[in-house]
Amino acid sequence: MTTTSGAPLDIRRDFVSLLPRLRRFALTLSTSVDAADELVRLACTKAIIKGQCPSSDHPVTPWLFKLVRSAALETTAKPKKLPALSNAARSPATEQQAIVLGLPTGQASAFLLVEIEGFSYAEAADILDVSSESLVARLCEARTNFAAIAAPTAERRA
Amino acid sequence: MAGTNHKLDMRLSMLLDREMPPEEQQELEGLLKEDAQARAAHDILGHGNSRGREIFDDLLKEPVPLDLVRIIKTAPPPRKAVRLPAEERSSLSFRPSPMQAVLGGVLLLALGGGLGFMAGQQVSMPSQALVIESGDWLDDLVAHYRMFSRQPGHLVEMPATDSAAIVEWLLGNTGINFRIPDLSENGLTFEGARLFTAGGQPVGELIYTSAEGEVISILFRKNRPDDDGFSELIRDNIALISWKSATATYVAVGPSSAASLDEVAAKAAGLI
Repeated sequence: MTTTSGAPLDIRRDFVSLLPRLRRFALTLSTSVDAADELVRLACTKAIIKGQCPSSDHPVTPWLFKLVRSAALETTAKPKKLPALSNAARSPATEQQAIVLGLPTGQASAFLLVEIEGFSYAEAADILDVSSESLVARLCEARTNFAAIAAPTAERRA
Repeated sequence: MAGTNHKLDMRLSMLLDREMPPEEQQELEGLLKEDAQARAAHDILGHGNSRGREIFDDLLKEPVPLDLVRIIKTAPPPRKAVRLPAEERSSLSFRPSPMQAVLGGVLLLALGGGLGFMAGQQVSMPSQALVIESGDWLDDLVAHYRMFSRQPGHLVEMPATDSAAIVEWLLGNTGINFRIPDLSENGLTFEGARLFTAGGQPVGELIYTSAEGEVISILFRKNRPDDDGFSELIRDNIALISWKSATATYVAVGPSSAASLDEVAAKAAGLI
């Protein structure tokens, strides 16, 4: 359904299409898989209900990542027991999820934004609201920690 | 020494990202050729980089919980502040004269006494006059919408091809004179009409569909003295937006996920 005002496309479609990447980013800011999903839910529904959307000269993806990071800060400032989305969500973390959850604060998110998502240092630092120097240090430490983690099975190397 | 190594590690890490001035990159690349320790440190960081990529690539393959998708898809968008017609109110301020005030008091006294007498006689009033059925009629609206919006082959009783007949039919049965709003600018196609009862009263329904297959209905019935005057509510993922004229109550009904139902209601209010 279009609007006569020529409003931007429904932001919900962007949220849904980017959900896997948003969940992955939320995992780097959380202490559990359920908490990460709750973070994504919180960020997305808040933005939808408030009618928030990026301005035309700002790309959608970094704006969405910032939303998730803001939700994480909000959750940290007001810690409360977050309800699980459903009983089905209470599943144990996979090996990869456990590795990311086990990294010291800030390292996984710095690595994800720069190495995986391809943001520059300045863009990643802006999303995380840290200095570029902090970002560089976290990125280096993440690489060092990942190097110490053995590959899971021989089949991966085959 | 550890500090120097850490500083070197950071520079080597930046080299992986190529986020340093070209001259500094060349300096480090020269160092790597000559310094085995620096090469070893660089290799560790490179290995860590690859390992990290593997881990995060695997994370992307994790299935997304369906209820998370559903919650986001059905999150209600913000309602824009649109002006809907309200019942017309007299623009004249009422300032009764002393005689008018006395007559009004006498009238109220007589009315109150009469009602008290009737209550004392336990006269049963017609249920339609006193029972507040506004809840019933909304329940009927929601149930009707839910049932017929899921039947694309049987959406309407009278198709849109004969608009004049639709107006005559619904006017004759609801007592409401109306025009069929053209909502094509809102992306809606008029499909036709239905007539049904809700809360014991006939309700006319104009049915539209969007390009995405959403069904939007504009319903109307005669005003009732006990109408609760709601303006907007959501029941079971169905959104209802209401407005009134002097004689009729109108309701725009659609899925709660419909992004601009309020705009549709405002447009229809001006055209109907």
